[in-house]
Amino acid sequence: MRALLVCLLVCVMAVAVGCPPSPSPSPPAPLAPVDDDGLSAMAVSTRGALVWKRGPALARGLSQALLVPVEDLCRELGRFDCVDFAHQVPLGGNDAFVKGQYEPLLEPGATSAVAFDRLALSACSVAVELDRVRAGAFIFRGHALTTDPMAPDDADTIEGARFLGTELYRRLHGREPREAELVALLGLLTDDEGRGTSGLDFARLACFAVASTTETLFF
Amino acid sequence: MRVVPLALALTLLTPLAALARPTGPRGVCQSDAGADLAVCQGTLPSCALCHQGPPDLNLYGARVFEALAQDDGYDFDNFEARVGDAVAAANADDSDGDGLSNLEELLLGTLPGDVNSAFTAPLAPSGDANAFYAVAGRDPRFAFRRVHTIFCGQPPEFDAITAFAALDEAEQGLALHDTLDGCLQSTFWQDFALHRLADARIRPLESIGFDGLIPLADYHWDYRLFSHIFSDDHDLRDLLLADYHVDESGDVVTGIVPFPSGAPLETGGQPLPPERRAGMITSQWFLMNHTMFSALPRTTAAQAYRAYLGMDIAKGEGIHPVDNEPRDVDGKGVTEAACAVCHSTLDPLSYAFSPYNGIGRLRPGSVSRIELTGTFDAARVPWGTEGQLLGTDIPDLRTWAEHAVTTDAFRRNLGSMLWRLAFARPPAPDERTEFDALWRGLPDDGFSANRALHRLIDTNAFQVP
Amino acid sequence: MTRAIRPPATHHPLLSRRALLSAAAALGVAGVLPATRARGQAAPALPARLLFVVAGAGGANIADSFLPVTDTEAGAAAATLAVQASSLVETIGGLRCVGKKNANVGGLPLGGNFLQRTFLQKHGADTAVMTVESTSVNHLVGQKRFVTGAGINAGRTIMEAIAAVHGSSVPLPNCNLAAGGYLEPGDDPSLDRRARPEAVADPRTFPLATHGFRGIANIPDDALIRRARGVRDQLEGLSPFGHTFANAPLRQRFLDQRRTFLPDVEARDLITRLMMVADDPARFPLTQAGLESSPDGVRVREKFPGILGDELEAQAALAFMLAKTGTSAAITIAPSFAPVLDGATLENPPLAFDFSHNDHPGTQNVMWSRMLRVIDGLVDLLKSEPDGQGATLWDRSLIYVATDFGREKIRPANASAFGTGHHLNNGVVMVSPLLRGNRVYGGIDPTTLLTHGFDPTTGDAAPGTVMREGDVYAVVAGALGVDYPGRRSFPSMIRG
Repeated sequence: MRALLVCLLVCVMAVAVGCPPSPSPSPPAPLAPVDDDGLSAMAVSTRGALVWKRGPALARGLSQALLVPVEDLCRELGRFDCVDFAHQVPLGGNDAFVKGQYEPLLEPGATSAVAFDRLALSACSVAVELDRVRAGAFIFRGHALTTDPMAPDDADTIEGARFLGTELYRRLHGREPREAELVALLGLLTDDEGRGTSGLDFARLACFAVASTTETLFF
Repeated sequence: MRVVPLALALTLLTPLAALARPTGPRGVCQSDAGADLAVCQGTLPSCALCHQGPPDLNLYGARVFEALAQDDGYDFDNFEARVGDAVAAANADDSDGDGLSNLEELLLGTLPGDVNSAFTAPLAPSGDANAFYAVAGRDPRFAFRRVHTIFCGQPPEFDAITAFAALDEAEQGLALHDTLDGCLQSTFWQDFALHRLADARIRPLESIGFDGLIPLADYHWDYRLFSHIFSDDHDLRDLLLADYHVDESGDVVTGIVPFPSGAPLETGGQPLPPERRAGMITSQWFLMNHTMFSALPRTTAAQAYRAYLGMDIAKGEGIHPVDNEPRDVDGKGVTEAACAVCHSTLDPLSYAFSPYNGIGRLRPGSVSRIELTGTFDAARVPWGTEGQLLGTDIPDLRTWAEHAVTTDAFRRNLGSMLWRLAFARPPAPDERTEFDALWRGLPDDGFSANRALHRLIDTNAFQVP
Repeated sequence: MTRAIRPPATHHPLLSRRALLSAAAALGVAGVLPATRARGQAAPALPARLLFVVAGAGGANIADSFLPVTDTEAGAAAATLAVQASSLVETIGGLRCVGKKNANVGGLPLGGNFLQRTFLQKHGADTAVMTVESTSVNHLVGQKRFVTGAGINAGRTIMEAIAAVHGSSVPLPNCNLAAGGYLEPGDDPSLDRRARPEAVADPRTFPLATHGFRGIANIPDDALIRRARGVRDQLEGLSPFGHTFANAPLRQRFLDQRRTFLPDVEARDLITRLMMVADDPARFPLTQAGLESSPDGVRVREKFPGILGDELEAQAALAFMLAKTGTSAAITIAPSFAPVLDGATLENPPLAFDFSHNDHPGTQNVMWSRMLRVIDGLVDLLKSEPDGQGATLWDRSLIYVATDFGREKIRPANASAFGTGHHLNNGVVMVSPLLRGNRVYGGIDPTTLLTHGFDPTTGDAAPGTVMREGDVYAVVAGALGVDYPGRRSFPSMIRG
C-alpha cells in the first residue's frame, strides 16, 4: 500500500510539476541561415554617428505604425505606463520634476534592452488583439488570427507570412523588406521542434521580431 | 648647463598644491598659441586640460610645466603671460602616448594628457556601392527620417518616404526644409522637446512648485518663456534679455504679474518690473530655487553661467579669475587657497545677483515675507554693484545679461543647445567645423533658433550616414 | 501554442508544491523527488563588499542625533543655540542620542516613534559618527559633493568607485533609487560603463525591468519568444540598416547589452526574486500577469510593512533584495521631498530634512527617526542573510548616511519652535562592522555647536581642524577596499 501511494505521489508530481525546470532556458534550435543576397559586400558607414530614438518618439512611431493609441501601447501589470513611468529612464527619458533628473541618459543603459523588448512586445500584442476583435483586420492580414496551428509548408501560409512581413516592414521601418528578411521571418512559421505556429502567434512574433530590431531604436 | 635660478628651483621643489594657477585657462586662450585651439572657441579650457585632480598635474600639464621651467623669461609671477608659449613648446610632443600630438589633440578638442581621450578620423567607406544609404556622401532620405523623428517626434510613414524618394535632388532639399518648418510648429516640439532641453536650465522640483505642497514659485512660467524664445524666429538673446513673460494662453505679457488669487502662499506670479528683468535668470522660480536664503547667490550665478554660457565652474570650466578676489564678502571662508581657485571667478560673477531676493526677505534663521520671493532690493547687500563677468565690470544684473549675450560663450552655448536638440549629444571632433559655423552664424540668423536649425539640417553631421 | 496569461509552471491549483513535498516527506520519499530548483536560483556570486548610501536629503543635522549638545553643556550660550534639553539626551555606550519630541506641523502631529536609543542599543557597536565641514550649502551641489568627496577620486561617486571595484560579478553594480544630486552620475569619463548608476524610478515595478517578456499579456510562450529573438538577430544582419551601421558604436554597445545583460538577468529570475510586493488584484495583479512575489517577499514586507505607500521603505526593501540576490554592489536610497503620512501622523515632512527651514526641532527629530528606522530594518535583514561563507551579508556591508549639509546652529532667544537655514558644519553617520564603531570621531564645541576634526591615526579630537567631504569619501573607500591616488588613510576608524 505504501509503495502504491509512493508511486501515485511520484506520478502525480511528475504530472503536476513536469520536468524539473532547468536553471536557464534551453537555447532554441538553430534557425536556418539566410543568404544576405549580396548585402555584406556593400560599403558600410564609417561615421556611424547614430541617434538614439527616445521613449516618446519610439512610442509615437509604434503607435502610428500599429494603430494603437500611445497610452495603450505598454502598461505594466495593466496599470503603469512603460514610457512615462515604469521604464522612463532606460527608454531615454528623464524625470525632472520628482526625481530631479535633469538630463536623460546619453546612451542606452543596462536595462534599456529589456525595456525596449517589453515595449515592442507589448505594443505588438496589443495591436494584434485590436485587429483580432475588429470585423476586419487592418494590419495583421495574411493569416486568420486564431490559435490553430498552421501548416508551415503550405503555399498559402507562406504567402500570408510574406504579405504580413511586407506590411510590417512598411509600417515599422517605412520601407520594403528585402527578400532575405522575408525568408528569415518564415522561420517563425514553426517552433523549435518544427511544429506549425498559429496565425495568432505568427502575427505577434513577426511583429515583435521586426519592431524590436535596432532599426527601430536608432536612426 | 643652464643654471636654474634659485627662486625657480625652489618653485620646482614646492609641493604643487601651493601653485594654484587659475589664470592658466585665460592665459592659454589669450596667447597666439591659443587662437585656433578647440578649447578656446567660445569657451575656456577646463582645469582638466592640465590637471588630473587639481592641483595634481596630468601628463600634459607636467610637460607644460617643464616648458615653463625651461623658459628663461618665466619668473613665476608672469605665469598668465608665459603659459601660452609653454603650450606652444609642448605642441610637438604626444604627452599621453595616444598617437596624436598635443597640438593635434588641442585642435580636435580632445585632452592631450588623457590617453582615453582621443579621436580617430573615420576612413572613407570602401566596398560595393551601398544601394540603401549614401555612406560616401549626403543622403537626403536619411536626413528626411531624421527631420521627422527629431523635430516631429515620430518617424515618417512609408508613403511619405516613398513620395520623398521620388523627388529630384533640388525638390528633396526643399521638402526637407518644408518638413522642418511644419515640425517646428508641432506640439511635440514646442511643448515637449523644447521643455526637455529646458529641464537642466530651469531645474524644476515639483514639491516646491505650483504642482506641489509648498508652492514657492511656478516654474511653468519658465518653461513657457523658454519655449517661446526658441520658437517662431524669436531672438535667442531673450533667454537673458527678455523683460516679458508668456502666460498660459501663449500671450506675451509685460510688467509685474501678481500672484494668482487663491494661491496658498503669496507666490506664483512674476514680481519683477521690466527694468529689473534679465530673461530666464530673473524668473521667480530661478531666483527662489537657486538663491534661496543666500546673501551672495553663488549658486544662482553658477547656474546662469552653466546654463546660458555653457561653463560649469563646479567642473573647473570657465575659470576667469579677478584680481584681489575673492574678498569673502559674506564670511564663508572662500579665501582659502583651495577655494579661491574657483571663487576668484565665482564671487565677482555673483555680486550682480545679490540684490535679488530668493525665498522671502534675506533674514537668517527663518522664512520671512514670502511675498518678496524673487523681488529686487537694492539695499539687500552692499556689494551688488561690484561684479565682473569675463573681464568686464558689471554694476547690475541687466548689464551682466547684456554683456553675456555679446560673448562667444553665449553663442557657442546656443550652438550646443541646438546641437543637443538634434543629436542628443555634444559634437564629435570631426564635427567641430560645422558646429563652430552653426553658432558663429547665429547673428546672421537674427539669433533665430528656427533659422539655425535649418542650417543644421544641411550639415554633413546631419545628412551623412 | 498561444499562451494566455497563466500561472508559472510549478503551480498546480490543487496540489501546491509545498503540499506535495509535505506528503512526500511523510511517506519518506524525499529522495525520490526530482531535484528541482526554482527558476534561476543558483547561489549568486556576491560582491566582496556592499555599499548602501542612505541619503538624508535636505540636510540632516548631526547635533539632532548622535552628537547632541545639551542646554546645560552650552551654559550661557544655550538660549540662542539649537541645543537639546538635557532631559532628552541619553548616552548609549560610546554615543549619545536625542529622545522623541512631540511636535506638530500645520496641525498634523509628527511621527517618529522609532527611537534613536533603540538604534544605538541594537547597532551602536557598528555606528561611527564623523564630523565634517562641507563646501556648499546648495542642495544639488552639496549632495553631489558628499558622494564624490568633492571630486577627490577623479570625480567618481563613491557608489561608482565601489561598483567599479566590486561589481564585476553582478549585473547591475550600481543601482540608484535616490534623486537630485545623489542620483547624478560622477564626472570621470574613464569610468567603466557598467559602474555607472542605473536609475530606478520605482522600486515596486523595477523587477519588471529585468525580464524581456514575462508579465506581458497575450503573448506566445517562452520558447516561441526566444525563437523570435533569434529571428530578430538574423534580421539585424540582413537589414540594410544593420549592415550599414554595423560599426556604429552606439548600436554595437546596445547589441552587446542585449546579448549579455538580458539573458543574464532573465536567467537569474530577478523578475521574481526582486518582486517585493504581494499579489493584489487591484494594485499589483501579479498572478493575473503570470508573475510571483519574491520568496523573500514575506519577510521583507514584515520588516517594511509600508512598502506600498512609503517610497523609502520600498527603496530599502529593494536595496536588501538587490544585495541578497547578488545583483548590485552599491545601492543608493533617499527619502523624497514629498510628504508621507501614516494615518494622521506626518512621517516625512514636505522637503524631508529641509523642512527645518520652517520647524527645525520637529523636522530633524522625525526625519532622523525615519531614517534610522529604515536603516535598522535594512541592517536586520542583512544580518539575517547568510553569505554562504559562514558569515552574513552585514559582515561585508557599510551604510553611509550622506546628507546635503548641516543646519544653522542658532535660534531666536529661548525659542522652542524655530527654523534654520543651511550650514556647512556638520557630521555624518556610518554604520558597519568594518568600522570601529560606538564612538564619535571629532568633537563639538558646546558654546557654538560647531564640530571640529580629529587625528585620522588616533581618532583623537583635534579642535581647530575640520574634515572635508574628501575625508568622508576616504573612510568609506578605505573600509570597502577601494583605493585611488592620494587616498587619505584613517586607521583609527577602519578595522583591519
